[in-house]
Amino acid sequence: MSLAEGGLADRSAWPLLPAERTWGRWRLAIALATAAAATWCYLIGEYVGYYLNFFQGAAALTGGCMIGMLLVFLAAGPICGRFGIDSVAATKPQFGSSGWVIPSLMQIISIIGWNSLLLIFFAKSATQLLRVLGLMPAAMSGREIVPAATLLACSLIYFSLLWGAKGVATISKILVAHVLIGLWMLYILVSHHWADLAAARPTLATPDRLWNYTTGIELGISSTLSWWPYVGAMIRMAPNARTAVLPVMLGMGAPVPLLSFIGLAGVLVLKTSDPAEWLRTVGGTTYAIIALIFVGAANFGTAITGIYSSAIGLRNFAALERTPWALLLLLTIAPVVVIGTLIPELFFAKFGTFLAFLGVGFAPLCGIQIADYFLWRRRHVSLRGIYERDPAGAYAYTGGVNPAAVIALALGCAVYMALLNPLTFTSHGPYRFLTASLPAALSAAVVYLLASRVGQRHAR
Amino acid sequence: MPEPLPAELARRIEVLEEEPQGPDFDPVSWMWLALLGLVLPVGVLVLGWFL
Repeated sequence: MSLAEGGLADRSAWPLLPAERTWGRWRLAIALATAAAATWCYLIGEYVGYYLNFFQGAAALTGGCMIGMLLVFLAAGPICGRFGIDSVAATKPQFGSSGWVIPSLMQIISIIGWNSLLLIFFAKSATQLLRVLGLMPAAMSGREIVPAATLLACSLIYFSLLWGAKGVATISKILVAHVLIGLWMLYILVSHHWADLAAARPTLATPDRLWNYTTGIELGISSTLSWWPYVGAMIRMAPNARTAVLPVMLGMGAPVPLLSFIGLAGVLVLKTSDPAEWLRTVGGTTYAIIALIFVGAANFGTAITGIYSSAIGLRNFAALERTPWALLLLLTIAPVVVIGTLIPELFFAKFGTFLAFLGVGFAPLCGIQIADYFLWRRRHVSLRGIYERDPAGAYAYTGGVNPAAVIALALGCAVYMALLNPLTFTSHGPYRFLTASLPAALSAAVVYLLASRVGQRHAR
Repeated sequence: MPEPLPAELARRIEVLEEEPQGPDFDPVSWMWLALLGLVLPVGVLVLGWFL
């Protein structure tokens, strides 16, 4: 049975045909909103709340997230939207027919990390929910329930995704309601604690007001840059890039800052960003149950999109091109199961370090893709070149790797690290005026263009 | 000797090459991108600085 005959195109990394790209604006927006709204939102809000008051924090998050979303969309959107391919395949013109493995590894590590975090959070929420409802078996503790709940969540995701993109769309339609619950939670917190919120002062704010504000913006930008791995696998289901503009900017870009306000308000007023904890303070057990259901639904929806995007990304490896979808899903979800069941607490403790370094890579990657597509290639991309493995192919470069992209990526990461240490948040140079992500993206773009020009002259 | 593309992939590429997908963004798309990705955030950031 061929791919087309079986209707299985959404389970491959091959380009989708126009007849297969059936997601309209609303369907795409719902899928993206469900993916965007997760536990990370209130973690992002919490970090911003350490440096800024509610009003400045809200402005910095909104501005930063929307700028970050624009960068991600301009990087991956045009190629994915035009040809119906995923984010990883869209890097082949820049990195080469073998060099695309670098962004692919970034995608795999990023998604495994995020999904492990989300599903462990999901399991912890389920454990709390059982405890609040009095359903926790007396002989069991959270230490035993969390791995079991993680395993259950992974199983549910696995069976849902056996339907491919249809599974993502169906689950999204059900879970999108949690975005509204999240907004209701924000309303409850703001309406009950408005005076406290207006008067609250951030605990880690430095005397440098501009540094605090820039750090809030940076957190917003870098958070949305980590959407790069997800965006291609979703927008390829829409008929073209134009259809994806509003769903991406409003469906994916806007819910992140809006739901981050929950964490921002929570940490400023009640010194905790965990909505279950502060909703219990505000409205008792019933509100806590609602919050726990929200957290579970939010994380489940995001994880399902993440696993799907990761599986599609893996399809770009020749060895996995024809692997049965069920087996590929199993390979994709297995690392999450291992982390979630064997080392959930250790992973939690080290997650910040992992994530901080990961975020550094996506800003330069976006800069390289934008410069390549709009300035270097002037929108001329060879679809055949993306897939052919010919040593003389359009994107063969030197041994399949484009040195210009590798150098630009390395220098972009170095610029980021020179401006801001993502672990200690120690900054240097003009960080307070520029952020770290934007100069990293810009420097990578400039270096890519210069190195490509040098490479072109050398080839002559 | 270059490795041939799988038949189904080759078919898909041929179909897409025969039916060019047109431009990525039209002027309306660019207007929305500029509004939501630049004008709105910059405006919000300027406003936020004075709060």
